[in-house]
Amino acid sequence: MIAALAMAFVASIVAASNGTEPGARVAGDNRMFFADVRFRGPLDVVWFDCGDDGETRLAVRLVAGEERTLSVPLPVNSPLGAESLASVPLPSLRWEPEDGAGAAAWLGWTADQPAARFARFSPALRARSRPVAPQAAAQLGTPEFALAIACFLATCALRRRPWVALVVAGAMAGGLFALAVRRGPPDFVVRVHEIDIGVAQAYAVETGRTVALPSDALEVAPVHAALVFELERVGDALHGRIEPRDGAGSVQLAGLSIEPVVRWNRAAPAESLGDAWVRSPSGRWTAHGEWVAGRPLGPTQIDRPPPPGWLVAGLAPGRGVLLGRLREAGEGATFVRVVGF
Amino acid sequence: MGGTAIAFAWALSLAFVALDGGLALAGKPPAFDGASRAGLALLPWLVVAGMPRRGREQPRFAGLVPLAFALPTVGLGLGLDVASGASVTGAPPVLWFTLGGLATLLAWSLAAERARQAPRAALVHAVTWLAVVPGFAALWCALAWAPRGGGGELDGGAQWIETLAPLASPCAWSFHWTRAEQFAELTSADASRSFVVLGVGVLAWAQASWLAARERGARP
Repeated sequence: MIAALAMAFVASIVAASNGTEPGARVAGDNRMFFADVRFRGPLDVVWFDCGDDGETRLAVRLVAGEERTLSVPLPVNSPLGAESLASVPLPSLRWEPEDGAGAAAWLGWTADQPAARFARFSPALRARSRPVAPQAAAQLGTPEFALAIACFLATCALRRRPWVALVVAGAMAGGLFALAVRRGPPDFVVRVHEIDIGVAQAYAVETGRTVALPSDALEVAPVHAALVFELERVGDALHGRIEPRDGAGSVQLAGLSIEPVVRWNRAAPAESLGDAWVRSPSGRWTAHGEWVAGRPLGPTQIDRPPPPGWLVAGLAPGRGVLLGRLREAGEGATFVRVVGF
Repeated sequence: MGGTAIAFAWALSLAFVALDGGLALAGKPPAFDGASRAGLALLPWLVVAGMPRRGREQPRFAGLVPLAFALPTVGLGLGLDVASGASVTGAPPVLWFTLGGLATLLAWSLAAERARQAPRAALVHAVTWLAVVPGFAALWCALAWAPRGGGGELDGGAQWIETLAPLASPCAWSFHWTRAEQFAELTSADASRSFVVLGVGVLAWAQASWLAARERGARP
């Protein structure tokens, strides 16, 4: 009885002490800078080793004699941004096939860094709070659950022969470990379209443990985490994904891509929203529920949930704001945050 | 060790590991997001393994039974930790914590099994277990963890409890890896605490063995 009470007590404390709400964090420094590289085929894959900062792996796929000059994103740390890139050493290069006539050569850091373009944005727009994507943890599946029950029954049957029970349970534990370790964490991504109608600027933020290659800047928390850029060339464009090098851990990435400004007004939404919240310039928040394309913004609904805390955080007072949830599916969620609405 | 305690510990252990999967199916946010599943699976067994036992004749090596019941769910939890990005030997050092926890579980279980063999040894073990395992953890929660959570300062006695409880009670020790924010920051240096907690378990085993042997030797 004492043990049961102690366990119940401990279980309740454990449950109470584990948070469930994703939080907000402030915008960080850029961790993606571009360098110009000349490639000559035949080349299959080129690696750019940035030491402790990580590496870029580019599937460039050039045939013999083919030449391309590309601006390649690299996961380097430049504490003072694009201005101090000259003091950052260029990464070491290697490629496959090594024994052919193919080669890759540095031309230097790209003169017009996309991050510098982003740095010219309104400070208030750049400094908006970033969502922290929920920690993506692998979850138990039906086969593991069934095997765990089978283990329990087998151990019950062998309880009078402890050594045999221990050996069998150890073997089953190994099997359960092997089954569970193959379950990768779900790739949960939160996207936000940040728009300031007053200054006519907009960009998209994609946050998660792994993100698609953004066009302009990459924020990383913790800032010194080693990253891997897995890229491939399609014509003269590069596509791919960015992920932490040493496993997901607690690393959060935020890819920033400048977008054209979409005008939102009360007559009709630019896109259908599952939930819409509006703040008047005087600071009064109202929830409007679903806002369907082609229709005006609906009346205030008092039974709707409030907007997520991180979406409200840090908004400058005195201006109208529209917050919306575009869609919420299993793999992520997309929001829009419009200032000057 | 009673069948009820075993069933209860096993069900709680599997529930800790499976709960977030069930919540995900129901479209709810996870309850243990970022915490170590191996640690959660081990926690109920750390509580019941050393629980005082009495009565009936038991098979030899009955002290191994809680470990045998705990291994599958702990192995499952360890697999989910690794699949979620934890490094087996790097940071957070989930393998060292798991091995330390299993060894501690075994030490307390052997202590309880040995103490069962003599009434006086059983009494001393019961008091020791109650004070060290749930007692120290409860004191730690009430005097250190809760005030810290409220942003309060700890006085001298509470600071001692805050330092000593995670080194003595396996429950308080396991809190460092069953809570999301602390698990992510665990280092190999933290894993060295496992040896101290294990040492306390081994001391309990040695005490029970010595008392039981002396009591049986004194019998006519």
